[in-house]
Amino acid sequence: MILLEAKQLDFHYVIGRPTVIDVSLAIRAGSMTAIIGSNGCGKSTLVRLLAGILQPAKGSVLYRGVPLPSYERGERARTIAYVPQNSARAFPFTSLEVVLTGRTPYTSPFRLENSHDTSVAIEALETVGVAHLAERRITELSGGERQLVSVARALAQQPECILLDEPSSSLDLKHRAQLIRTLKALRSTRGMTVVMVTHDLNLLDPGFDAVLAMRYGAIAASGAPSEVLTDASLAAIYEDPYVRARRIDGQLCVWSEVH
Amino acid sequence: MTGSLRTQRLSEQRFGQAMAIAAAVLVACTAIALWAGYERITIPRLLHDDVARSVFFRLRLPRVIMAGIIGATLAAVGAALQALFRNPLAEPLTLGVSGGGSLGAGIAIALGWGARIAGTPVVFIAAFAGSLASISLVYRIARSGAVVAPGSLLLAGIVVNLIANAAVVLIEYTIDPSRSLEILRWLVGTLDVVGFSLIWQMLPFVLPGWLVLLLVARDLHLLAVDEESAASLGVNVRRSERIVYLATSLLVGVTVSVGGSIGFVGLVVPHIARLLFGQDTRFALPASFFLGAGFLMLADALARSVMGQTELPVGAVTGLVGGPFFLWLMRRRQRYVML
Repeated sequence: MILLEAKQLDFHYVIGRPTVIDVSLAIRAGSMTAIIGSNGCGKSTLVRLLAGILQPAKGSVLYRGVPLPSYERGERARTIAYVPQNSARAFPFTSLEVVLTGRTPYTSPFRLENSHDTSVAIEALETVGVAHLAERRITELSGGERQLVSVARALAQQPECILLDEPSSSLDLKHRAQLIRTLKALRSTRGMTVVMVTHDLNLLDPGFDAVLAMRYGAIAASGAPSEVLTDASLAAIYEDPYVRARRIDGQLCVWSEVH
Repeated sequence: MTGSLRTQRLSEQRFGQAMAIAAAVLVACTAIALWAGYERITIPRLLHDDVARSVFFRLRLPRVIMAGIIGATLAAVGAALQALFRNPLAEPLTLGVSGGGSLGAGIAIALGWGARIAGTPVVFIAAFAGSLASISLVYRIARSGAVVAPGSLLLAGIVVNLIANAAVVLIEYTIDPSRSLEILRWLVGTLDVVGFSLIWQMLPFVLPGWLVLLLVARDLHLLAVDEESAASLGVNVRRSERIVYLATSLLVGVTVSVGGSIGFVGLVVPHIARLLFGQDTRFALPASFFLGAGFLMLADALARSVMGQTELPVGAVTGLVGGPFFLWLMRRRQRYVML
């Protein structure tokens, strides 16, 4: 079943300089999809459009066949969660306070969170392996720890579908792999659908079901990881003749030759 | 689920306790402010002394109430703006909202104090328009793409404030140079009030503004945590921004028309509120009403009493307390966030 669908999306921040051009895509329920591409090619914008926090200039995003804007905002937030690339740290909130904001779509505007909300929040922190940070202030955390707290906040929304924008950019090698394992586990236990913008091409095969490659705001290639992550296709996506993709011990490894 | 209801009651009890403490602080501040001044007024004097009674009801009481209303307003506006812009240094003065308001009010005053449209003092409307124009301008300057640069926001705000103050001085000098002292006092912020009529005029503007800020407290809390996350959690960011602009401009416009631009109340008080009751805007914003009222009452009591018969403008007191506090915060903040 197709869960999330985009039809001919166009978007620009500045008139005359399109960021997303005529993008159509379909994401199956319970699948894991990676969006890849070079810096500034429109990946983050596409994810924001899919999350419904930006509105396309043309085209539409459908969730279960229904246009996203016709969902009530709270309902949308109970269904689709979004993890931004960077999150603010203007005030010294504790990690738990941040994760509790993920319970907003389940709480009435003039009530505070109850113990069920708190236990869901703590469980979300445990799921991504940062329960020990619950009482720490986000201003004192490292970039990677803050990213994991942000993922936990999204999980506290108990969504069907989670969209992540480079969630692992500040994570070390262990935590990068750990995050993918966590997402895979959520897919198999809760049937969660995962869409993730990433530069970590080494972690996509095996694991992900589909890879969407973007170039200059448009979809340049899409398909199974083994189809998209090849020398020829990657050379075109990144405009880099030095890219190599090789299978080592069953895992697809991708790098660019430095010489 | 009974357990979860209990915790909800617990956290709502915690909210009730926080508000009770803040209200108790306000009561204490009110008592001190009513007593203090060049004329010390005690309860026995109030009962037996006609002069003291007249001073109390004509001057002291309205003034303390006015300080309370203005203090509560400025503090709540500060808490709202800090959350909205995710900037702990934001407040009406540093964002140019006060400056714009005083320019609007200055123009209206120059054209004739008493004018009214449909029973509403023109000066309130003009100050509201001035505040709204300046906050929109400052926001436009500071926002580039999806981010509001915190440093640019403050710089733009402070410069808009300077320009507005210069324009006020120019207008008022052109019209009547003999009023220069009065203008100076008003620019710094002062609370000369006789009787209750001005208070009654303010309330129809101030009360709805307060209500609006309380209604958007949860959205403001989510925005304080992170704007994009707030949007994904269902906050209509643009709509919340517009609501907060309108409400804060109205509130600041009215208070500036009455008391001039009293600085730093909106900076200091929300910080005290967060220090006492935690970072959650749903606690800090309502607590700021009580604490702000108490804070400005005390500052005004100080302004009335330290110089003997001469009164200091209350803005000088809040500026001397709040200015250094701003610098200290800025210094401390640099440890984790680059301006």
